[in-house]
Amino acid sequence: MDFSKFTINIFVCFCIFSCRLPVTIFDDVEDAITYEASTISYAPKLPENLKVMTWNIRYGAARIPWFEDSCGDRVHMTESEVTSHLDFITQYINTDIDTIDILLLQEVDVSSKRSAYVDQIQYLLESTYFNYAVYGSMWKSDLVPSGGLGKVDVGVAILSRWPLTQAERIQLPLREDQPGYEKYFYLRRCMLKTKIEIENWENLYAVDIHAVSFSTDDTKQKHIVEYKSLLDKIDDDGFSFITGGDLNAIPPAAEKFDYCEEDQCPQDAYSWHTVISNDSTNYHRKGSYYNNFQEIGSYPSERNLLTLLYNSTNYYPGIAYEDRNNSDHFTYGAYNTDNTDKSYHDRKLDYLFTNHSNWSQSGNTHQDAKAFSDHIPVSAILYK
Amino acid sequence: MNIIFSILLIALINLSIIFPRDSAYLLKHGERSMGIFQPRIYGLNEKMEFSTHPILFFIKPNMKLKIFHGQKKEIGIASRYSLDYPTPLLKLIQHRNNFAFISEDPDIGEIQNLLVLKGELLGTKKYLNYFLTAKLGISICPGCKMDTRHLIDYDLVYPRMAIYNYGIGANMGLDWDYTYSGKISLKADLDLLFLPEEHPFIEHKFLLHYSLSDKYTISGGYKFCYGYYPFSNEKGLWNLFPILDLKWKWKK
Repeated sequence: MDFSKFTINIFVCFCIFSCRLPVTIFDDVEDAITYEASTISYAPKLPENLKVMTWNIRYGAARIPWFEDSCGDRVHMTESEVTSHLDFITQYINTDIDTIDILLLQEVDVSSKRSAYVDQIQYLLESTYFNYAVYGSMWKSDLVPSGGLGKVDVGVAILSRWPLTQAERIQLPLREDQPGYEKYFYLRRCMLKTKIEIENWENLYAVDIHAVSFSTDDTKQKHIVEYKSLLDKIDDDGFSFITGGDLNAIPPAAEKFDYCEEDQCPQDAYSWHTVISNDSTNYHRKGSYYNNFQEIGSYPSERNLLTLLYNSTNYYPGIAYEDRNNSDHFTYGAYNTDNTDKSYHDRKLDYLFTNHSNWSQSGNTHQDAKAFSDHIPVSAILYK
Repeated sequence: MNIIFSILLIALINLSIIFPRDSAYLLKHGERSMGIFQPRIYGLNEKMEFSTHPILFFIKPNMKLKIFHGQKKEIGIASRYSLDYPTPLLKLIQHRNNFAFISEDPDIGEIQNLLVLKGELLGTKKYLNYFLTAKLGISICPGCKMDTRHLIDYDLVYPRMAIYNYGIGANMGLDWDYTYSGKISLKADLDLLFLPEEHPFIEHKFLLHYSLSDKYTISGGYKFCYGYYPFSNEKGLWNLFPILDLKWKWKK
């Protein structure tokens, strides 16, 4: 074979097939990443009830003024900052409340520069009584060229005292309201589904979700519709599920749906609600306005998006329906340690549901965990 | 978008990182050469060669001087000294918007004035249609103690930036330059980069040069790198980047 042709062929093959690209693009459905604690702790063999909690832990940033939200300017934490924040969380889980059996987490960093590359799942496993975890990344990029963020690997995780099997990462639709380059480097949100292997709880599944936040199109509707379809499939198969997450949606019939003024930051490009422009995207702050799309056919408007879940007769919310808009159950607020003007919590974005039985009597929004993240956890107990 | 990003990467990586002219022999007196991504090289006299990257110079002042010390046992010996002032470039890519590679975190100190000095020794042995070059070098960045959170933990870039934190680094390598015909020549090299408290970083490139005319040469190839990064202390990672450039030379 001609030497130069051979060389050129080798070169072309290398270039096309061998580069490790900076952004990880996921399959529609793929195996979740599994974790195990180095020491297996005791887990009751035949538990009569299961305490389930959902918590967006803000990648261990607690309430520091982060640059992407809450009007902050911090980008990269030190390792000691991250571990001290995680220690607050583990201390709360271990001592301040009754034993949590299943923990649904959102915004967990496993290898991100902003959180000093601390694998937060392994850290939580080693410092709590959870034995097993599964993880699905929603943003995995070797280099995010924005704000100097650098490498990011963040996602959703399910921690359990019992083994988890059949764990799947399920891709959610991408936002369509971003330019191509931004979309390429942006989050690829997902759901995480796994079976929990408890002897006396047959065919029990857990589903964790972190739905889109900053979209101004109908991406959020697509996410909730896909989420509901997944739950319906489990339900139709005759299985039980416990599910929850940060749905980034307000409860049905919430009086307030526009938080642009509450979330206004001094460094924002616009003074929200004052800009007169043909470009309406400058009128509302992304992620602070919950009325971006209206009802289409059988799909509800953004304001009532969660009627899809609340109106399902055999789905039970962790917090009782009648309490959903009660301020005691708000779970998110843009408060920062350097911006005390903002209220701690002013909206509910985090939810739990099950199709097993009505558990809202035991539902709790943990108002005493305000300082550990920009979200506070919600828990409920499922009785056999 | 993968393609666009790759193209951007090619451009960035080619800029100054990939194309050092690793041979003890100099450009002939009066000769000049330059590439889109390669530095402008001046053959000053029979003993000295000066180079600088003109595009980068305004944001990253840089210069390199190579001195030929003669032949010993048919091996050409040269030393090379370079000076880099990356601070303006680093400040340019430090902001809070898109295309920022370094953060503006108030908890991290400002980027200090960084001056990197590098000295290398090169030995080249000529054979009938190829020559081999060995090199050994040391880099110092006096007083540098850049916060590791400002380092870009990415292939090729990290081992070069980490010197801003450690203040010292070393390198060694071997180059093979092969003349296949009057128009085609090949280049392959292997480099090791050493940093305190780090595994060595391995880099290798392969280039095919094709002379379009006496003046113009087009080059294409790949750059391979392997190393342990702050996020992968237990597992080495490799990557491969395509290289493309056009070089032209002329006489004064």
